This record gives sequence, structure tokens and C-alpha cells, in this order.
Amino acid sequence: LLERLLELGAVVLAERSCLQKYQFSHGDVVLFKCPSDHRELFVKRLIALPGEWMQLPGTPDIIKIPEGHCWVEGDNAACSWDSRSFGPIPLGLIKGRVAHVIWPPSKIGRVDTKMPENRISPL
Amino acid sequence: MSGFARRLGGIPWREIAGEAFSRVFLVAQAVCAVHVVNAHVCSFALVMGPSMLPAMNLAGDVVAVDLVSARLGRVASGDAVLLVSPENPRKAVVKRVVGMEGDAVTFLVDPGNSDASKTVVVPKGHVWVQGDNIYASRDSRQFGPVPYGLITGKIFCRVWPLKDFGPIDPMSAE
Repeated sequence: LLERLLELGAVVLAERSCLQKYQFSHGDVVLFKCPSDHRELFVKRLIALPGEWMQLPGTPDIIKIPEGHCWVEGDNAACSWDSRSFGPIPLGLIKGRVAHVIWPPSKIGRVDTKMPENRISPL
Repeated sequence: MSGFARRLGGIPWREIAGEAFSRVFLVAQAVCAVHVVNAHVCSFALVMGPSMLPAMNLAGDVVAVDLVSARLGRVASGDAVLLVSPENPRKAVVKRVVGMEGDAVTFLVDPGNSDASKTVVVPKGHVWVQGDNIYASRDSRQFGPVPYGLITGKIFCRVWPLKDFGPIDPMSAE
């Protein structure tokens, strides 16, 4: 899980080649500027891509992700400040895809691209 | 053959290699300096289209963009800014900042056809941007306030066409 993978003070390697065409996949872990504070960087998992329909977590509501936007969530739903709080984010805020954890040594390795088990894939 | 070998041996290869290396190193330094300045300090952008008339020409202006101000949070109402389009991240657009976070912005919903207006309060960390030519601009009136993080830089000078060369002054944002 993301909160176990990326503990406070973890150092990650983010690749920026994905920004040439802004092509992402469901489950990618992305690094992005916080929509409400440009000085802050967040790391979340990408759940829905532009133009997709998705069900809002914990509600029967279905929304369409606007063009040029995506829906991001932390794996630890209980204490994650993410799209459930601030809505879909513009893809332009994304600064890279987190590929590897390089610190602490106990967590070194690739970051898996996978959708959380409790999450239904977008329509 | 021995004369040719003697001539080859007389060439100061070490000095030539040293000179070549120092020149290549100088060029590499210059390229690195240009890249750093272009990526983090100041860059240039071609602005085309009707959305910023009359401040910017329809046919296209080359403008200088200050990248430092945006990073330091020194963008204010009235500044013309270069920002990543919220609708297409591969496209950069030029608009004018009309409202900062917390500002109440009143705008005409459909300026060509009615006088109906609407007032919105700009949320935290966002800005309200509009084209100077409100009749032909796709901006915050359509896609809402944009996160400040999408602003790439502040436009401070027009460099082309030469007859219009000079600073681009901020407008008072009504």
C-alpha cells in the first residue's frame, strides 16, 4: 500500500518521460503539485483518466472526468488528502511518474502500477 | 616514409588535443548555461490568436517569459501569464490574471449575446484568468479557476515584431 510504501521522509525516483505525451495508466503512482498550494508536492495513485466515467467512493454518484484532468487517490483512504477532497486535478500539475523508491534502504525497489483491490475500474 | 613519420612526430598532438578539449568544454558550458536560463529563468513564447487582442497581435508575437516570478509566487492581478491549459496539458496558453485567491470576480457569462453576469470567489491556491478579448477567448469563464501551479511564467516583454518591442505592462484588472 502507498502509505506503507512511501513513509514520511522517503526518497523516490520520478521519471518525466511520461510528460512528453501525458500518457498514463490506471494505477500509476504520480507526483504532482497540490492544487491548493503550488509549493507542495503530493504522491498519489491515478484512478481515472480524462473522459472516463467513475463512481465517487462511498456514494452512488457517477461523474465524468473532464478533458485534461484525472482522478487521484491515496491508498490509505482514511487519512489521504486527494481527489475525494479537491476533485479531479489538471494533468498539467503532474510532474512525473514515481518509478522507484530509493530511500530508506528497507523500501528500495520498483513502485507497482496496480489499482487498489477495493476500487472498481472506471467505466 | 621516415621523413613523414618525423613530420608526424613533430606535430604537438598534446597541445592540439588540450586546445580542442578546452574549446569543446567551453561550448558545453555555454549550452548548459543557455539550457538552465531557458528552463528556470527566462524563456520565449510565440503568442498567436485573437484571445489577447489588442494587447497581443493576432498574427503572432514573440514574448519573453519570466519564469522566476511564478515560482516565487509573485504573480498579481493584471499580469499576463503563460500557463498550461487545464483542458490540454500539451498546450500552453496566454491569459491575463483577473483575480487571485479569495477575490470575488464578476464576469459576463455570454458577452456577445446578453448582459447576464455572475460572481465567483476564487478558491485557495487558484487564479481566475481571462483573455483581454472576452468575445473570442476560452478561459476561466468556461473552465473555472485554475490552480496557480499551472502558471509557467509572467510575460514581461514583447521581442517581436521589432516595431512593438518593449515591456508589456500589467493592466488594471476590472
